[in-house]
Amino acid sequence: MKYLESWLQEHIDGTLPNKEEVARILSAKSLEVEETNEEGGVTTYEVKILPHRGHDIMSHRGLARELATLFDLKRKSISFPVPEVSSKKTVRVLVEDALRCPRYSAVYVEGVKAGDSPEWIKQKLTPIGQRSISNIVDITNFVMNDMGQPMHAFDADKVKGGITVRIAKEGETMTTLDGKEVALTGTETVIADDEGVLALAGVKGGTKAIVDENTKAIIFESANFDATYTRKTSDKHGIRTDSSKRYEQGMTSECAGEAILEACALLKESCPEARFGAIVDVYPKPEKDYEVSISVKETNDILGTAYLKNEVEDTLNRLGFSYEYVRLRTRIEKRMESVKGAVYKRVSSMREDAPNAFSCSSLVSYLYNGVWQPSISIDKYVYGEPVSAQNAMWGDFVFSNTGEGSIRYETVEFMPGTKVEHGIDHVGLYLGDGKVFHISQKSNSPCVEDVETSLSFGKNVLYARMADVDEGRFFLTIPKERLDLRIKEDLAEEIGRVIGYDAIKTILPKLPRKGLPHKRLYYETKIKNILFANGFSEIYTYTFGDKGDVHIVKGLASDKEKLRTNLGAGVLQALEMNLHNTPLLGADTVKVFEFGNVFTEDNERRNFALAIDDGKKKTSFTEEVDLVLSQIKRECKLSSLDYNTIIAKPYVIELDFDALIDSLPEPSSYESLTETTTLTTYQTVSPYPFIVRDIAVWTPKGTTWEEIEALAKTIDDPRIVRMACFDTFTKTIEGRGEMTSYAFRFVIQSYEKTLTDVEANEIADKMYSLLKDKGYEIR
Amino acid sequence: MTGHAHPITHLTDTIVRIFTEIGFDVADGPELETEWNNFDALNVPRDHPSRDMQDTFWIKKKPGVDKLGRPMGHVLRTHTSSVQVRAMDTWSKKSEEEKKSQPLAIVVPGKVFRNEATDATHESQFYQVEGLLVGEDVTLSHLKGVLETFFSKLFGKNTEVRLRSSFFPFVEPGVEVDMQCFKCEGGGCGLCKQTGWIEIMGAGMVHPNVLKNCGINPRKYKGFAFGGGMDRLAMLKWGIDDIRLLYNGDLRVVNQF
Repeated sequence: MKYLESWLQEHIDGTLPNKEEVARILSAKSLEVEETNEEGGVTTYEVKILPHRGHDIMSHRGLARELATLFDLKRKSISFPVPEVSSKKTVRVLVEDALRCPRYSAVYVEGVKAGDSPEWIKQKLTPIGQRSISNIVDITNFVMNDMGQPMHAFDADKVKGGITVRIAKEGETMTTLDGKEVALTGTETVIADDEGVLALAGVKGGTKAIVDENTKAIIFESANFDATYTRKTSDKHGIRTDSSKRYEQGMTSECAGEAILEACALLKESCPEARFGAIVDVYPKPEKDYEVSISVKETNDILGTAYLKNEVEDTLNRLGFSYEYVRLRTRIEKRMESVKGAVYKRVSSMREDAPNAFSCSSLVSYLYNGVWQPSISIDKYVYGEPVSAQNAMWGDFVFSNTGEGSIRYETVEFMPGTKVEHGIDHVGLYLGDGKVFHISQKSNSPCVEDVETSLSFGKNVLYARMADVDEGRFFLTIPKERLDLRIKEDLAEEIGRVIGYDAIKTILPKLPRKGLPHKRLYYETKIKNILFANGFSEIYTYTFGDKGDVHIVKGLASDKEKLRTNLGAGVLQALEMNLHNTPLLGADTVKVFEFGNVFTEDNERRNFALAIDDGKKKTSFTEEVDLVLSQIKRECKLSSLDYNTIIAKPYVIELDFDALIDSLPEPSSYESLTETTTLTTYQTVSPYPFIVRDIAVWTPKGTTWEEIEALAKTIDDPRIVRMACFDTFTKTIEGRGEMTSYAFRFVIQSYEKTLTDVEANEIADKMYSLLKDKGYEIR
Repeated sequence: MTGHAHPITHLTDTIVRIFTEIGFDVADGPELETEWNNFDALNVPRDHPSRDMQDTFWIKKKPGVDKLGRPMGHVLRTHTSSVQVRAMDTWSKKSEEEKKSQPLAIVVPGKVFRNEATDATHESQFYQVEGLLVGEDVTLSHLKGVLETFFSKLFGKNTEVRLRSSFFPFVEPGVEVDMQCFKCEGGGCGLCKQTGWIEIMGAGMVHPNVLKNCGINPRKYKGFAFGGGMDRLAMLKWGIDDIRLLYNGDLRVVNQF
């Protein structure tokens, strides 16, 4: 997302450092700045938004909060007044499913004049890539980029009756603002009036109530839509917008209230004569605070640091979190006081019913709120550290099997299926001295009883420790927009990254023994070593092709939508390609092999294929390959070695490697490749064809090939890429005595273009004259 | 004339030598994976934006049933992290004594697939190396220690690493790992775009949800994980200019190694 520096600055008291520093620190501690741009004194940052910060940082206010934390500056809080009600009209809003739309705020505004946006708004929107459309539409865009809350404006005169947020009906249609016809399938959330669909909720507005130059009255929408439904709709219809991108991350509903006020204030500024109806706010379940806690020790245990309490505290202050530092026991005790009047409710949720009604497990969860644990009693037991009755201490949990009702013997949500033979259906907080604090149907309110005599517990109970209750912890009330902060590990990250990960020490862990390779790797390496020694080189080819039993739903191309059933086809293709390059490779025979996975309907296995040929009609390589295979058989101590001949010429064979090694023993150590590469810099491959020239010369007896090679090298033309002698003999020639003939081949190739014959001849001529000047005779 | 090993094989060999020496076992797993092992278990839920981080090849195959009893599809693994899931599942079944005495330490070099257009630096198939250490007292310090040892041995000189804040669904905290540029040793050059650092891996502390999904109690055990592209490492180390050359079977490339 693109951010304008001056806009960010408006949300911060104090001055941001220079743009390089902003980019450097953001990239190290928050999110990567992909581009910093300065044009005519206007600085923008392109920041890569990752899913965890999609909730809170996709706005100038959001990033400004982050920057204020990182540079220890103060945030500026900007608030807007509730507009004076000057119109009697309001919007009738009905939300059919609060899960799909937790909050819907709307305001009716009349006396609106559609027109151009004020300059200052354009100057903000243009640099971040938002096209100015009209004063009204620009306001919704401005608010989204300022606060992160997507908004929509409807032409009120085109809205018939009221607004209903409902599930689309199958077969309904709408036309989006950019003219796309959408046929609804009955799964989407839509905004509708009494006639039809106005907008695809959270994704895109429709033309039915489009705001245009004749618009006189509008309805502003500021709402929250469920992340998953928004994403499914967006996926289904292939529509991704700035709005859907925000909703699909999950958003707080809290922002909708502030945003509509900002939109009203901006509209008042742009159309002073606008008259506002009362704001309608359908928000049946206001969001509750979320608490998470962490101790200094836990922070250091995750990060590998040695932070002191005050360092953690300073960081939390910079982050602007509200928190209390308290010993866990003290907090539990306070909470025990606060729940005295609560009643028993068998099926209850801590987030919904606390502190008024509890089940046994939601009560202890509430006492420990901020310290993560599973919800269900048996799950809590499995999560905790079992302790004996003798060692049980204040704050531990007591679990029992009351013998009545539904006793669980397996965990449900936490590591599902973990068995607890004892059976558990009840839990309480152990207070020491044989006392337990709990709630049950019988007690109806939280009570203290003796474990042994309580009808809910008795003699046959289990104890488990959930946390060190004597430890001090920071209990944070998480800002509403920080949906990414839910567990202590999230807090450790906040603390760690803001202080800076550079503070983390480097420690190599001491592991108890040397590591072992897996069987495949071990025998693969062994066989590869044999193959290399026999002149075979290793290739990797593609898993995808146009033949195979296993299909890809949507591949990159129609001939790449199946998974290979064998390696042979790919290896053969590679062999043939390499045969064309033998002059460049400096070998007549090409020998290649591949290890790779192949796929059939129900099976994936590792195969191994090898191919060999010299491009000549009559040569046979079966004997050579048989020798190699028998060496493999011998060195791997195989009892048999079966292979399939894929084709006889060129000779390609394939083996089921997994079957081959099946009965072999597990490796006891890693034996590496016998030859490691010494290559330092790779020489790129020319995409252009090469030309071959052969020359034969008579030289005086005693002339060595090295001398000729050295002489040829003086040409110093990078286009001569390879030179090799392929024939030499010595013979007496009348009148000249013994002479040695050298026949050699050189390969000419350019990295820039296809060479012409003329260019090749020029190089060859240079070679001729060089040889002649030396007194050699061209044959 | 002796034959030549593919550059990725050379790299695998080096990686395995370094990591088995530190005490990591080498693990592998299938390339065709379940949706659970590739995504859900790794805290990448259905219909969540984090699934967009990796373009996926889905397989036409009868759906299976995942650990939570839901239907699950099949994919070509988008990362070697699916092998983490398999290894943790196995390790979690060991006795507490065994777990305490032998932490789960694995390194996973392997082939992965991404459904994205190919160019000189992107391939639809490539190799990743993944590392995982799960035990009682594992911290980010250990991650730093293991990676510094790895890069230093790989490049044959002292190579520092630095961690930057990032996000991967399967870790928390999540970090981007930069290594000191091996060419200019941090001074700044063309290879590292004058920064002295090269972005090379994603890493972090294994997310408690991942541990839970694999049957490991996050109250008792923690872990770190890292993963990065081997092709990219090979390209950097040897200056290979086009990733596609690694998969067309061209001996003009292989014979240089």
